[in-house]
Parts: sequence; structure tokens; C-alpha cells
Amino acid sequence: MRANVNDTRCERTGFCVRLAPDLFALHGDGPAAVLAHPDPDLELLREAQDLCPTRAISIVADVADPASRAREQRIETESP
Amino acid sequence: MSCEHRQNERAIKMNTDPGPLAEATLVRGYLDAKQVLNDATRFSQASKRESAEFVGDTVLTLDGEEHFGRRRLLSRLMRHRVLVHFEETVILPTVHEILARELQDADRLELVRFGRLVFLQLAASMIGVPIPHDRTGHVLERHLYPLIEAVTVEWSQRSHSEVLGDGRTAMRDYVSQLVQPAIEERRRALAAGSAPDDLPPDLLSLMVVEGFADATIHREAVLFLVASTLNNAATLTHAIDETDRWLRSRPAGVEGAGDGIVSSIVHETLRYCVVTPAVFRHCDADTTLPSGAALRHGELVAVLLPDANRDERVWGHDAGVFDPQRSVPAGEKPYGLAFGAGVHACLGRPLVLGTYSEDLTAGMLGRILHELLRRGARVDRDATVELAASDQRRFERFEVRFEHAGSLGESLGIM
Repeated sequence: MRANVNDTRCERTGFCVRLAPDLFALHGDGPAAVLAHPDPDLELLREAQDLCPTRAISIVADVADPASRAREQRIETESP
Repeated sequence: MSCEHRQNERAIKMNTDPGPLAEATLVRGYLDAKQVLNDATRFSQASKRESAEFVGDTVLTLDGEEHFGRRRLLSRLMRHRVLVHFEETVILPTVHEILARELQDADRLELVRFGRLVFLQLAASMIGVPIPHDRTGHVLERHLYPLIEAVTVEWSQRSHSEVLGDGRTAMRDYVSQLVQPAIEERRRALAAGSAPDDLPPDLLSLMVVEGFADATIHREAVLFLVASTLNNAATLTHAIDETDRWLRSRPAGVEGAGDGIVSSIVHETLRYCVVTPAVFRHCDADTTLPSGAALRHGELVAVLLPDANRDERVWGHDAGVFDPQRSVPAGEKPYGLAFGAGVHACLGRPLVLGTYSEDLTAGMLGRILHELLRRGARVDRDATVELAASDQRRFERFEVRFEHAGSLGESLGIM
């Protein structure tokens, strides 16, 4: 799993960086950047997604990692 | 009466009584407004000073680390699965129940109260308070109205001391009758061995588990009550009003309408009919805005959201016209700055609009508006319309009639 930041929606609030500095960064005037990480904490990614005021963050499966895709499927089917 | 009429009235009022704008530097341009709202390093929160006893020390008014912590906590209420839960189990059943009851023997509906009742149900569920009725009616609704006026007192055209006094009474009753008992109930459950996750997923549970002081929880519960109901109900009414005017100006009909038009109507209503005249910030460092205007450290800045959302330099020469089919400027959101921007952007935006992705919630305003249109809502221009005694753009009373022939939904292909 990895995060994706929608450049148009990102308004650089920096919430994601404060929450997860190992996973996100702000450089210059650009939108938040996703940092490479071998095994990002999925719960933290989901919290970053919920916390982002502009809903700029999405979580996508790493297509090269079948285990990641299976994990995503499990989480999506969780009941509320 | 449309936003245009309302705007004219506001202009006249503000000439004689400029209210909270008098002491502030006004920012009207869209790009300037966006910069002020987005730059939390140079601009700190300065809204709601007059109503601090009701909503001070809340996610709306805090800054810095405290704000981040509170926002992080409360964003749990905006998780996708929570939104779906509220939409499917609270909002839509409430809409259907109220419409069935109110339209059983009548073909008319007072839309402001309808909107407030629907969103009141949502607010109560999100906060975690019951919605009791007594022999005189809806208890929470009675608390809501004076609290709405008190929290937005800076825009009130009534005596501010009266508005604040009524608000104090309502807050005292709201807290003592509904909020504090619910807090105690959660504390008793925790003391009896319940795990935090066993508590209902609501505002009070989150804050009780985190050990917040009662007074802080009370103010956050007031903020959620007012924020969940006021603007949503106002926007719903404006959406019907403006859509009716828009369709009347196009007797030949609208091309390319259908179900997809509903979200466009919601977005355009939010852009065109911003409820709140301004939000305030302190300028914490000398700044030059995109227009070239200079702001000095220490200045109080009023960001005029309605003006920014009609800035012709961004929205085009027809910025002052309601047009759900307008082209949205590249990189901008169709509703402009209706929800603010930056760290203080409205926490409830995903709930109101949906969370953008196709597989997530459709957005409550759109779902409710669609239901009203589908049932044949139309505006009766001869019916009584009352404006709120406030500089905010909102109606106090707005009646719609239900009749399929010639309804808004029929014109838009939604039936």
C-alpha cells in the first residue's frame, strides 16, 4: 500500500507531515510529497487520509506487491 | 427573495452599521483570500471573538498544536465508514420520515425548519446526545435556535446583549439536560470496565476518553450543534430558491441536465450564496498579497468570502450569475471558498459534499436536494418568505409546494 496526493486538491495544510513525517513531506511551494517507505503503517495512512481537510490523500495498492493488494481488500470489506 | 435581494439589503445595512468589519482590513479578492486562509504561519484565527463563551477553545478557534490535536481527534468522526453510517442510518431515514409526516395532509413544506430538523438529527447523532420530545415539541430544537443566533451574534441585527443572554440560557439548558448526562453516562461505562471502543462513536465519547474538561466538551458540543445545522439548512433553501430562478430564466429548458445536475447545483449554490459574510484572521507578519495589497503585522483581517467567490478575475464576467453549468476555473473547486481553506477549512466538508471518490458517500446536501426535487418541490413566489435578522445570507422561513407538473425536478429531468 502507498499514499497518493492529489496535487490539485492539496492546499499544503501540512497536517499529513505533522502526523506522519516519515511518510509525507512539504518541499518549496509544491503540494505534499509522498516519501518512499518499505512498509508504511496503514492505520497512519488512513488517519492522514481522514485528517486532510481537502481530502487530497488516497491510498492505493502497490501493484507490485500482491500481499499489499490482499490487505487492502480485507480492510475495504471491514464492517463499520 | 434571492441572494441578490439579500445582498442589496445587506449593503444598505452595512452602510449605517458596519459591525465587526469596521475595525478590520477587508480582503475581497479570491486569490488574496485564498492566501490569507492558507498561510497559517502568517495568519492566526480571529473569528468568533464575540461568541467565545459558546465556541472558544474549540476546533474552530484554536491554533497551532492544540488545534492540530483537536482536529486530529475530531477527524475520526469524518471517516468514510462513519459518514456512510450517518448518511444511511440518520439523514436519509430522517428525510423520508419528515417528508412523509409533513406531506401526509398537505402539499407544502417550510424548508428552513425541515433542513434544521434533518441536520439536527445528524448533529445529535454525531455529538452523542438524545433527541427527546416533550409535550411542547422538540427539546433540542428549542435549544438550537437561540444557540445559532448566539454563535453568529457578530452578524445579528438584534440587540447583541439580548442574543447572548438568550444563548446563555439555551446553552445552560442544552448542557444540563442533554450534554452533561451523556458525558456522565460515558464516564460510568468506562469506570465499569467498558473499553473506549465500546462507547458509541461520537464526539462526547472521543472527548471523554481523552480526558477533556467538561467546559471544553460543552463548547465543542455547542459548535457541532450549530455548525451541523445552520449553513446546511441555509444552503438547502438557497439551492431551491436559486434553481427556481435559474430555470425561470430559461423557459426553453436546460440542456444536459439529469441526475448529475444536482451536485452541480449544490456546488454553485455554495459558491454563489455563501452564508457567512466574513471570517477573521490576525496578521502575524507583514505580508504582500497576490493583488499587491500589503498587510501589516498586528492588523485584524476580514476575508469577505461572498466577494471572493464572485471575483470576476477568477470566475469570469458572469461570476455574479447563478449558473450550475458554469465552467470551473482550472485548479479551483466549484464551490470556491465556501468552506474556507487551509487548516481551518470546514471539518464537515466531506459530510456535506461526499468525499470525492466515486465509491464514497454522495454528499448529504445532494441526496436531500435530489429527494426534494424528485418529489416535485417547486417555489411558490406568492408564499411568505422571511429573512433572518442577521447579516448572514439565510432565510428564517421559506415555503415550497409539492406538485409534479411544472416542478423543478421535472424541468431538470429528475422525477
